Amino acid sequence: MKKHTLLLPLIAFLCGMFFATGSAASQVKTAAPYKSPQKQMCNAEFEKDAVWQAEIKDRFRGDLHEEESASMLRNNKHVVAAYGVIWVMMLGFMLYMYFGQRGLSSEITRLESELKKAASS
Amino acid sequence: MKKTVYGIFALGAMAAFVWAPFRIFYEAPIQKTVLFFNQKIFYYHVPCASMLFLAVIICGVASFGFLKTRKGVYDDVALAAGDCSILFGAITLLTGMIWAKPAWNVWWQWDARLTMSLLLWMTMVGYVLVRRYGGLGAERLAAGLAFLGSVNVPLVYFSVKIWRTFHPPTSTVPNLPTSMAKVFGFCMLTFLVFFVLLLILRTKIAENKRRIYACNEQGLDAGLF
Repeated sequence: MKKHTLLLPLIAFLCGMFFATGSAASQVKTAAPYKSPQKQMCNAEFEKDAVWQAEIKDRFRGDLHEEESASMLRNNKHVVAAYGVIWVMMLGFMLYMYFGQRGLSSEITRLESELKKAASS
Repeated sequence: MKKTVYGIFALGAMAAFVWAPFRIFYEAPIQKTVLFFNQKIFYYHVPCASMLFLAVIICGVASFGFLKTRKGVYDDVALAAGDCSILFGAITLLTGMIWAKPAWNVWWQWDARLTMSLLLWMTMVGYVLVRRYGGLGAERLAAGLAFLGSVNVPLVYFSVKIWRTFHPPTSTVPNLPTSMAKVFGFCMLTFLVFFVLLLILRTKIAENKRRIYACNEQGLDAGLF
């Protein structure tokens, strides 16, 4: 008898869990808005009290930043890669133009010196 | 005078390139439905694609002018625009591939817009290769190729309307929210100024090269060297 008495709370707890999850699932399915006078009162008080609002915002600020940054970090490697490609390629093209112009300048110098040689001889 | 104007434009473009990322990452809102943070690639990807189209059209028009008049200046502009089209085409394709990975979960898709863009870019690579290594008379052959490439531009642009594609439609840009459209317009202007500067400088290099070549030929003919 004593053994059964000890098992009763465990069974009750498991049943409670089972029905709680079942009822939560059914609530999700029906998606009925939860109405409670306490919640309404809390919302009304919250609207009145600016200090409380600030306190609650501060309470969740860290968590929100963490969530946002995690979402960004999941995506940002592609953005960084794309911007990296753009800047590297543009820089490469400008260097290519710079070296092309340098080659032309040396060619002009060579032509000028050869013209001078030809004029003097 | 010209150098001062170019210098002012170059400084302006440089300042805009420094400022653009701040506007993209801080001013433009994050798209919170499908693409999230990756949508930020859009602000550079689309202007680069637009510059690719512009470069190919300029190359085609200048090539047509060269074929008609045989004036060297048209050939210089065409070659400069051809080089710019390779740069902007490569950037468009690479950033598109990087964007495709998080958006479609593949690096590349043989989709009409993507395939036609690749073909356009390959045509322009072909143009520059023929122009550079084709020897005497290659400029006329290359000009024909560039003209054909420029005819391909409207087809690439409207490919998203003609065929079913993964790529977003052409209506995406006109329907942007104001906060995103402002930043996008700024990026377009930045890239346009940069493109014009590159085109002018590259044309000058092509012109100088042509003149040096002509001087060498004349010098050899006259027996000076």
